[in-house]
Amino acid sequence: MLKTGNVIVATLLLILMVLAGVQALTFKAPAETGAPGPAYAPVGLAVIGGLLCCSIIVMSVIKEPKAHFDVSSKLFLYTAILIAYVSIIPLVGYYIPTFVFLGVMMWLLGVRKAGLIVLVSFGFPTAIFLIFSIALQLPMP
Amino acid sequence: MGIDIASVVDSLSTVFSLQSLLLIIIGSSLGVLIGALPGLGPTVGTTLLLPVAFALPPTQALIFLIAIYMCAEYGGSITAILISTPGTTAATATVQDGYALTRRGLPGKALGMSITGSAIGGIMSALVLLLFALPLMNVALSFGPTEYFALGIFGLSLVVSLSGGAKLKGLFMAIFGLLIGTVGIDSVSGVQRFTFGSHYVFDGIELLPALMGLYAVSEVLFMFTSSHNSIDTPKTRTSSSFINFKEFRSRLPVIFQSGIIGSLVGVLPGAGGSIGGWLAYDQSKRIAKDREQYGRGALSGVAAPETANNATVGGALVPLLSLGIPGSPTTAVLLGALIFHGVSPGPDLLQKSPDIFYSIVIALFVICTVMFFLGYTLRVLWVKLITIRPEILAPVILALAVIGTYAVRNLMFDVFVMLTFGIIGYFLRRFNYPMAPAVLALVLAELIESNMRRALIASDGSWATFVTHPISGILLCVAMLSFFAPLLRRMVTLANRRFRRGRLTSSNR
Repeated sequence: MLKTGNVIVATLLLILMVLAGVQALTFKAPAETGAPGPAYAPVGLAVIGGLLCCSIIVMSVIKEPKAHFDVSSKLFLYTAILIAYVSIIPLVGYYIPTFVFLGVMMWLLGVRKAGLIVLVSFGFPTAIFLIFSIALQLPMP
Repeated sequence: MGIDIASVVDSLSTVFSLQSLLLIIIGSSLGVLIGALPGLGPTVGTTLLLPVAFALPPTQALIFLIAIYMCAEYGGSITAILISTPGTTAATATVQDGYALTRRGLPGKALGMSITGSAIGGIMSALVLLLFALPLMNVALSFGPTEYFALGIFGLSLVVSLSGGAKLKGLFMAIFGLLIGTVGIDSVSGVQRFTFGSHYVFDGIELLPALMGLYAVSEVLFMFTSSHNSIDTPKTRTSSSFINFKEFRSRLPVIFQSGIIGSLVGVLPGAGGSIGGWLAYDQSKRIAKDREQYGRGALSGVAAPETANNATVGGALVPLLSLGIPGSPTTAVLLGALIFHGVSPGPDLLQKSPDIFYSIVIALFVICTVMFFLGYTLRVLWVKLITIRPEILAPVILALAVIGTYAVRNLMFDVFVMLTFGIIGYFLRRFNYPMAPAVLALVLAELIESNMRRALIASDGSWATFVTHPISGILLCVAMLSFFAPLLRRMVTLANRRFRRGRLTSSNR
């Protein structure tokens, strides 16, 4: 899995470099100065990055991986919850989603003491409210 | 520059007045807290408390703001060491070994090294401000785009040694970081690059969200996914014990060197704590006794960036006080406070208001002392925070990273940037792509590219300009040596091994 994964990741990064390089070719300076323009660095970096990706692909095929890699199904669940949490914040603000997020995540991660879950889920947003909103008077989402 | 004894005595009575001491203690405590909270750095801290400074006499106002500035630089290391979340960009280099020490169960030592280095760095920079303000200003004035470019390359030469066993992947990550650094409106031509019309990225990808994603979010995702699909609990016992005298003594050369680097970098307008920290981290590898431990939890790897980023504070005050030029956003806030009080910093400051200058220098010593005691006593409390079960700590880190990222520009866009970088960072780390080269490149990208192009415009496109300028030429030579040194060392080791094997085979015959 690691070898295949390595090749897939390096190929994706190679595609990214090609796309970045192609996009960078469209950057034109308003006036020619004789010195490198705005496309110079991105194109150069994309080319070098692409070459490095090719080398990584070749090395991944040649060399045996030293470690094992597998993707846990729970990672996708946790990441989905995290994305949902961040996406809801602009709609309902920071405090309520944070309260729910902390509670749900702690439960999923194995915390079974209801009192502890409520304490942390309620205590953390309260502390943030006191520090960010009251003491420092910073705008909150 | 002779020292005016009468002014020094006046300044001593000002700094050691009850009001000033109270302001130093309050400012230092607030600074540590502001620095430790991700997203709130010294600039935000000093800006938020500027109205308080307006209500104070000019000298006390400056002392209060400098206390926040100095202690926020230190505070950034606390979360960097404990939860891999740099509180400020200046603490990014500290994550490398600071968090590794925490993983080894030694957060107390890491925090101890951090506060010791920070305090000594601050004191060294105060001495530099007192004794070398004018000569250093002349050095800073001789830095043009060519020298800034060379300085950036010098910093970037660290990527090979930061890549560990994955050199190719490390080099790629550096290129990746530099490429991300080109996003936004090009500072030289005004052309939009990779913005796709979004005004959120006109100023480029904000550094702190990207760093929090790469370090904090990816780390928490790692915590979530151990091999047994539950959170990975560190097996080691957590110790809050401070560094001992032997550990301190053996890091003195690193601390001394980093203090000098930090003070010099601080003098250069636009450089700042993060660049100073990385440069000091790089250079410390050459003299550190525990260099073999770098990346796995070397105390020198904490001492170097922490000493340097606090030393940049005194350095940054040199152009502010001697020329009236703010070299960083935080010193621009300090300049605002000075102007509000009718004090015009510049070459005449020492003639017209010597008491302000000497009060600042003396206050720096007191601030560093207070900061040390705060760091020493609060260490036990900080360490207790990470003894919280990871099932509770991990979601809290994420919620803190979200609000910290939002606080940088009050934009949810930055939070999504952090999330994206976190997910990308997680997968890249799983496939052994080191994060540090990307972070280093991201910090240096703007400095390198914009100055390279400005230098080339000034020289009509001649690349020779980078080697004909003496400072630039020397920096580039050292950078090349630094870049190829790990590869050369490896080649020499392999050659030695082959030679020994050859001798052994021939002697067996």
